[in-house]
Amino acid sequence: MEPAVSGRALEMVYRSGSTRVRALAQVSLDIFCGEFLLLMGPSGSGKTTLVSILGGILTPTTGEVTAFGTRITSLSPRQRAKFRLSLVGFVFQGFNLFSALTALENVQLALALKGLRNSAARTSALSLLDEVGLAGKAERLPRDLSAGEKQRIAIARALAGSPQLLLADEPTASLDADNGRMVTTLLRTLAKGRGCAVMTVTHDSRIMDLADRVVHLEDGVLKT
Amino acid sequence: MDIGERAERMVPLGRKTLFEDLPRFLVAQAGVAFAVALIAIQTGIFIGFVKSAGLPVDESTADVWVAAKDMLYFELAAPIAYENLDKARHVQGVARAEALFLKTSAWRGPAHKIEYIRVIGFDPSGDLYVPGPIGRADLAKLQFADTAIVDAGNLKALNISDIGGYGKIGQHNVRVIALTRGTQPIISATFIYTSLANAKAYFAPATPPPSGLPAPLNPRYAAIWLAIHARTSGQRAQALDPSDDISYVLVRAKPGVDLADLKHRLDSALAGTSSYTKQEMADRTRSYWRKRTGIGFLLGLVAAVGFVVGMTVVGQILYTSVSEHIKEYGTLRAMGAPDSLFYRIVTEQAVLMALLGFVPGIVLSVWVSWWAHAQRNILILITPASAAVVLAVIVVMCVVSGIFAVQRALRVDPAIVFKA
Repeated sequence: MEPAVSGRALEMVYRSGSTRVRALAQVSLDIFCGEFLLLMGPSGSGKTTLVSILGGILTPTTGEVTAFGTRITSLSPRQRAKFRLSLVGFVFQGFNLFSALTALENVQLALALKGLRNSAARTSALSLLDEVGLAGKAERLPRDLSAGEKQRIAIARALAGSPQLLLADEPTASLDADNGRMVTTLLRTLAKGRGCAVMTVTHDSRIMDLADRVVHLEDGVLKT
Repeated sequence: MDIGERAERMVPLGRKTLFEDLPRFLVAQAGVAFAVALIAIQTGIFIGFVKSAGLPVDESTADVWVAAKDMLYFELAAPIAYENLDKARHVQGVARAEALFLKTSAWRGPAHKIEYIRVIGFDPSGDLYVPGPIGRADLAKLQFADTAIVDAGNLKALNISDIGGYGKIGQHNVRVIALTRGTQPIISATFIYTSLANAKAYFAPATPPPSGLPAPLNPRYAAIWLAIHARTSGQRAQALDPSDDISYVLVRAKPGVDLADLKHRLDSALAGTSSYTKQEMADRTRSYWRKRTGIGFLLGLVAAVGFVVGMTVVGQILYTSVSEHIKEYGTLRAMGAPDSLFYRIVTEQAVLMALLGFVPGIVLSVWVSWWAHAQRNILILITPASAAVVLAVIVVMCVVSGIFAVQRALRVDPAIVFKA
């Protein structure tokens, strides 16, 4: 089975003045469609850097990433933006919702960016909110929602336009245990139901049982 | 329409973000309104100054002004002989001609305070030069000796309080018999309006030694004073002789007469003079103040500084706004939003800020303009046209500032979104 996303010999070195920090060292990783993969590791181990590289946000110092048949490490920044827009959905630890927009508008904006027109975007956004169980709160602003609800809105937004790859960076870190498990279950359901590749970065060992596969990153080195 | 534009049209992120925090928005709008007021007032001062410089010419209804050849501007013209008035009246195409006299002097008000003045002598029974909104009855009072009309805005400068006040010009105790309004150029010496005959008398060689000033007269008794003055001493001032000096001959052309041809005929008939249309005369005067004195440059510079300060204020507001929402812009970046969306968001915010800041800013400017005129007779001219230009400038300024601010959003590292 072909991997949806494949990272090979990924190295990432940050420079800070005269200091060089190696965030990733020869990391190779495949993610498959329909797979719910957990990436675990202590703080500063390079998890977020790896997610950023696999999602086409950062370019590695060396190494290659191929996603859905495209070598994204050779793309220009503009082409990578298009790649992210059409194939990748992101869920963030801090939710990163647009505070001035309602739940519906947050999802609608993502759909509009993917080319949907007004009524189609609204219908699709309501359907996505329904999928995460928040259709009844479509007109609420983020400040009027709980942390768990915000993260579910963020997931609905990430699902806009049916991405093939869903990358979640510590999506349960700001949630209590019940909400954390609910969100993780939702992500797993999406992987299975929609057949998209889902990689979730987490510290939370209580959700390990939900994963298809767990990989550990320590000091920039992958340990399976 | 590209995707970014369509997305922003569907979900007005720029507008909603702008209005999200109302107190912050109002503070930002105060900054924009300040920038609008700064530009409107400073350009208003400049326009007002230019307009004010040509006021005496604007007040005239003459079609052509005849002056000595080396006339520089309204207030600096070599004298020409009064006989030129009669000659002008005989030139073909002239319907009416009147003389205008202009000379510098000093006004010694009560308590011997001296004010630098320009005496403007004109024909009170004529209609080619009338200093401001003043009735025929008041103009007729100038036929009596030692009388003058002053601008109400100059009373303080002349150290008098109202009609009936006295001052000394040369050897003459001159009584103010009427007030006019809105005739004083900002930059000129204080204008004193009188008849040609009085003006001649004020500058005639000294006769008896000066005596002390009479007491100021209650305005309500000014008319009585005039009547008594006329019977006892006042007599009318002596008319001008052909050899007396005047400064200008004002000419009204007969209907249908070509002004360029009339000017040629006047130049030929009146030796040593040059003729100017009213517009040419006004332009010459304004141009003198604007270009030759450096005041125009200075005021233009101040207006330009207003523009730069305004742009800095707006730029800073927009840049701060973008910085405060940098994580949201980073999220858009991570999602793969095109650059056009960022431009559209910030441009929409910039235009809204410009339009909403313009209204209070221009209201404030108009109020300041009114106040300055009421308090100090200073003309800060804010016309619908200049307000429209200020609006255009502020919109351009906001959009340029917005384009500058959007660079911050475009340069944002999308990885910022992963920081909690």
